[in-house]
Amino acid sequence: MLVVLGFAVLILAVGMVVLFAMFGELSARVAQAGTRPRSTEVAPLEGARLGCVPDTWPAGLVTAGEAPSVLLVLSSACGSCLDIAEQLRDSPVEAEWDDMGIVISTSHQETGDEFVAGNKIGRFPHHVDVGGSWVISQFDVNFSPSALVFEDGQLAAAYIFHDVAALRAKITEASAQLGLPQQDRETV
Amino acid sequence: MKLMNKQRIPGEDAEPRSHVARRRFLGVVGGGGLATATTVFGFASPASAATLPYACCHLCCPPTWNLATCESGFHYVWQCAKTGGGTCQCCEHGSPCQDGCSGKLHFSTYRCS
Repeated sequence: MLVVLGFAVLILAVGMVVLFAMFGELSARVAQAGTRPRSTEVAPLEGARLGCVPDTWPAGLVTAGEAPSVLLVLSSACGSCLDIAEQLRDSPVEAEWDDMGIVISTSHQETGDEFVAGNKIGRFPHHVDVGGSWVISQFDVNFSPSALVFEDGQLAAAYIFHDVAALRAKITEASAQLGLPQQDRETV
Repeated sequence: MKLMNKQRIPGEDAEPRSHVARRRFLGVVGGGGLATATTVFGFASPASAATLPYACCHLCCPPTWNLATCESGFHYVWQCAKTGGGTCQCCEHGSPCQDGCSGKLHFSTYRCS
């Protein structure tokens, strides 16, 4: 009798585990179904100081003495920036974007550090910009998610974007319009 | 005085084989359950501080007060782009997010256009 009861309890416990697993799977699928499609529009960011050369580059953004040619400006207070971080983290193509750096504008250092760690974007050159002071003082940009594109150290273009692949396509298209092949652009 | 030394009969104290087998089976089931639970829950990534989505903002606290109040004293304000067009201003006032929300010491707010 005791054995039968024991097995009944065991089966009930297993059933509960399966039930909760199904709830979890269902909630994940409902959340995915409710997500709006990501916009691929890449629009110019008004008000950025085009043509300016930054006085200094934060150490975290400089790799082997070179400043990045594209700077993504994210913020810990911006919801779309979580999606951008997710794209950078999950896509193997974006993960190999060499000449890109990330500025994380934030209210406090610990909040910015948590944003970097939580979204696993620490492998990219990055700088936690408390108050957005560096990016505002250098480029007059207080908007996220945005991208700053540099040519020969000068700010050449600034964009608002939601899709990283669309942004990269836009940057490639813009450099092609200048008549320079993408691979030669950095050596000019 | 009568000595009560009972002679041990070989095999009398030994448990029946069925009991031993049952104990082993339940031991294996319990061990397997513990191992599964450790694998599933033991290696979960730590939860980060919760933030709340409002329009394109991600705020530390539910929005209270207004933007003008938020922008007085120590604050952080940033703009974000809504997916469907338009922009919002997201404001965090006071101490870091991790310290929690406390009336006018730390609160969040946002305004969209």
